[in-house]
Amino acid sequence: MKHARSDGPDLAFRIGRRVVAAVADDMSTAQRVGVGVVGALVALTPFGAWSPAQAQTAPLVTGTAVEVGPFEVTVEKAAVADDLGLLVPEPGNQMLAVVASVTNTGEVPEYSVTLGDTMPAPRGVGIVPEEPFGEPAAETGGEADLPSPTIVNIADGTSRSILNPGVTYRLAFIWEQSGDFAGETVPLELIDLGWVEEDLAGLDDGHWYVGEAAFSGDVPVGQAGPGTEAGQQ
Amino acid sequence: MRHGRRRITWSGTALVLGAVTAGCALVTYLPQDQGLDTPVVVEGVPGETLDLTYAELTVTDVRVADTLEGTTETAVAGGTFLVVDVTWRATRTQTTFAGAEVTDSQGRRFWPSALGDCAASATSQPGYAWRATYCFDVPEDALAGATVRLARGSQSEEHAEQRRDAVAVVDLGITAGAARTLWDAAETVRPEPQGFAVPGAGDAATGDASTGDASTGDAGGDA
Amino acid sequence: MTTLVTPAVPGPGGEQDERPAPSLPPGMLPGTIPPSPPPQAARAGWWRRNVVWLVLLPVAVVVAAGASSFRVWAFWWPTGLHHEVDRVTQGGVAHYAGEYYDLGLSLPERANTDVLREVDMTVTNVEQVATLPAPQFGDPVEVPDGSVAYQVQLQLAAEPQTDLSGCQIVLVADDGTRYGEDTSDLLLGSVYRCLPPDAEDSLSVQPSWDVTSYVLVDADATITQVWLAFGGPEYVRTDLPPR
Repeated sequence: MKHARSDGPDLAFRIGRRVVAAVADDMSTAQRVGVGVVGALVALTPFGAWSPAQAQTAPLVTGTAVEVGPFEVTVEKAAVADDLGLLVPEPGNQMLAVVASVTNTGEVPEYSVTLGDTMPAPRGVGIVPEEPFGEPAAETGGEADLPSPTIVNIADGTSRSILNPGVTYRLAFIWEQSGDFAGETVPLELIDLGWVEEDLAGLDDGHWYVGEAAFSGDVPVGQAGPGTEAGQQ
Repeated sequence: MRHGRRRITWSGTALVLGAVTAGCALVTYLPQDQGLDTPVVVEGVPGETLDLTYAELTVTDVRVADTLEGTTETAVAGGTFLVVDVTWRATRTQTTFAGAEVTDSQGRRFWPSALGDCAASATSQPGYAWRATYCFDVPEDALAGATVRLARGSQSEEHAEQRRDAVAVVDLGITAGAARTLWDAAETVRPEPQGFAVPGAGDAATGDASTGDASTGDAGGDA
Repeated sequence: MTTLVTPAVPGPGGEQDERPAPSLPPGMLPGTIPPSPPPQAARAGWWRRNVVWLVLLPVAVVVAAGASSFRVWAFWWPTGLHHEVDRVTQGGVAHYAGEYYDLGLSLPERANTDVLREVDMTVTNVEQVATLPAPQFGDPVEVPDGSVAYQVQLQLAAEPQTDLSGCQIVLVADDGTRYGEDTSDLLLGSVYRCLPPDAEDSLSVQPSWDVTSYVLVDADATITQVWLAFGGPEYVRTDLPPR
């Protein structure tokens, strides 16, 4: 009995080479190419190789319901106000609120953070950027990140952390805005959400991922009348 | 080391592929998670004291409210608030009861809102009954046939924390006819903050008898 | 038995080779072991050839189980009372010693260090009481139906400036039920259960002091032990005389 002593540090390499050689040695060139192609396709799958290419955004019209992920969203209007209940801007700034009716059309509750992901802050209308911890926003350079909206239930001024299925809320999506803004419309985008049933890459099964802009349009801005937005605090 | 060429034979290939296929089929088609993951469901009705081993639970009252008046905030329902009053009595050690969920007859699930002194979770110790009020904002068509599912494990992540653990499922006993009446009623409820359950002080006639039962039950009964 | 493993020395080139492998005499089936060179000794049995792996197999099973049981010490062990540091009968002095990570909330110079906390506990009295004293704020708590109230009196001794936040005074029944594990006193509203009622922060002042704590217990329970702990896993235990 002879012993194949595997005493080198290249043991793993030798085993791997043997396994590859065992399969590849007896293949024709065409077979090898085929195996390579199949392997490459499998390897690309977790990175969204088969996701459909993103279509152009559809127009966002106020008063018309659109579906984004589990939510049916009807954008009603935008409004600016000096303060909205407990939300008080820095001196010289104002609050911008987008009013929308939202229904969770799914079977399970959704977090309002997920809803916030669907409505990024409008660009180019002076939304006060997020202040990164420790350093002033000016030093980051380039385009600063705009904050997620603060979502407030208009009927009672409360914030709802979860949205139960089948219940419709009239919500205000609120950002702090520079007082210089005096436009008549704000450009608004709604982002589509995709459901990840089985997450091959991140082991985080069953969550919504933030996709691409699905709807975009200009929303007219009015002046918030007293007591309309979260004014019941 | 043996020298010489081995062939990839048809029979060898078929053997390996067959074994892999059989393994995949076993993993795919055998109900491997069942029985390992399922919670121990204890079913009951309002007024009944349920033994969850780690606690005794009584649903003392079921109400609806369009408006919840708390000490610091007032909340208006998007649908209607299904207000479920319970008492928890921990039996072994200090326990946090994190799970509260309403399921309707269509299988839709609803989570509680911690608004206006309503609880989203409760923590108590053995030695006393602890009162908590859960408020679920639900649509009209969720009322009839709704059940509430209460447990120490949270219901998030597909009930992951409730695996192999006791879970109470209480039929709230709302008939289709009662649902209509409940939906139309414009009630304002002032939920009591969590506290010691004092029999007789509650607002529910059903609550008194059942809370009394809880104290004579087998609290700490694993001796 | 055929196998997919080829020798480390590759075969002759990559071209299609329909001849049997060179070492295979004509007539041999592929995959069989050639008869030459002739065996010097009787071939060792399968068990002998694989003895190393057979010995390693149980070791590998133990290592795999150990590696996947990290949750026991990472999650279960630190959050609960699992380690009995000392155990005495009533009248004796139970010596608590346990390390904790100080965040510097009470003494900035201890921030981000591991601190050994040592406390001596003497249980002076445990008895049922009919009513609870008035709390620091609000109305007195009525003893709920089905519950009885116990008054626990301890004498504690520790170096001054010992941090006693998160202290638990636990009554343990004969069936293992643990009453009063909360770190704050629900009944009296005090935040520091192990310090005198007039304590301003979580640090001890005197070398020795008395504390009184109240615990609600099931009416039919038999209390047999008193534990002192600071969130675990360490605790000390005093056995009460049977009554």
